Amino acid sequence: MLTRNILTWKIRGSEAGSVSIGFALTIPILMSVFFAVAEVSYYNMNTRRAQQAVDFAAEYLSRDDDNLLTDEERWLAEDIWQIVNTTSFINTGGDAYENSRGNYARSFSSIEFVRTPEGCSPEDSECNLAPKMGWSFLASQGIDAPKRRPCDQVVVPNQKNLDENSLPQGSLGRGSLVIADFTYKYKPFFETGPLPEIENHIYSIRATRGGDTLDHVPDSSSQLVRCA
Amino acid sequence: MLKQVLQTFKNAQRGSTTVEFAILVIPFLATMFATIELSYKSFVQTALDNNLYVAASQISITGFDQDTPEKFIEEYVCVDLSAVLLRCEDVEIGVKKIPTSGRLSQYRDQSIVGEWDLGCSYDALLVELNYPIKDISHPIAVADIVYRDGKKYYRSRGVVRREPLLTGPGAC
Repeated sequence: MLTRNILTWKIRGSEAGSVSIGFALTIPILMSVFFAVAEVSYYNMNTRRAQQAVDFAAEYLSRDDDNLLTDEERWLAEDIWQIVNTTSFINTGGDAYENSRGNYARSFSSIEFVRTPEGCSPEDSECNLAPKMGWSFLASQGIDAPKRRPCDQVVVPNQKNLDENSLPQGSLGRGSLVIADFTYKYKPFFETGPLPEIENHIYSIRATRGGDTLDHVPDSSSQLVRCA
Repeated sequence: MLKQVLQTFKNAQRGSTTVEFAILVIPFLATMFATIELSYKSFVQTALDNNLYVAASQISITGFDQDTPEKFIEEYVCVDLSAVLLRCEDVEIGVKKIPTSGRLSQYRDQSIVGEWDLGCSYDALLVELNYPIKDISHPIAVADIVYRDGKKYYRSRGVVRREPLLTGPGAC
């Protein structure tokens, strides 16, 4: 009994190993911070480049010289993703790196503003410009919920006053618009961690040069939807 | 006598904390600096990406066919990069006119740094910025890294179409 008390007293009183214990407690926190910085940096880079890619794509579409989007021009806009967001192949798998298309969804849409009632005179106070979706294109690989703009896409008409409800609905305009939507998978850098795999959707809207509406060459595939 | 001295040294507790600290402070500081370096590398990549966007936008709307890449970097890139403590003299740029037919996957791993083909109105351009990586304590980086001439570089790229409303030399 006496021996045990003496031993306990010695351990309690001893300072040997206190630094090691402190280190053992601290190093997991430091390592966690290191990996957290890596994860956040990776997420930031992916989202930043995704937004840049979709901005570049929308800007490219808005500068069409003949206001007629050909398949070749559209392919280029689609491929901007894999040029800008080069590291995204980590998310979509090694195969996507070899595959020119990659696992992501890209959708392009064209919106014009038409006079309502139809054929009315611009001088007429009752004559307004109403947004109308012309067409939308969607191609997708490996995405569960790709985003395509519907034909009844809400774009705020000119005559509508902007308020907290109408602002988030869409754009206001007179000239025609092009919209680029990209959807991509984000897999956390450390897949065994607590972060889930998510699908991010980003988009960008641009007014076309000169206000002309961007048309798409006839396409019989289901990827292109023309709105009535 | 020697045996007695060694025994005394063996039993001594003085300085043990210092010795422990001296041993453990190395991995502690290494982890801390590794984290700081990782953050810094991400910061550089962010700065380069942001400047790429500015540079590509500038190239798309400006008619400056006679300019050299060095002059362009000096006038349009250095101001922003200097603000975030990067050396603009180390930035390299490449601009290549790309055909509208075919896919862009062929350019995925192809460096265009050193090329300066600005095309004309409506031409699609691939723009690339490179900045050398300096590894201080470890090679880990969350960045878009390319190897060129045996060196590591951060890379940022974008695709723009030259402004259709250009006049002067840029319109061709």
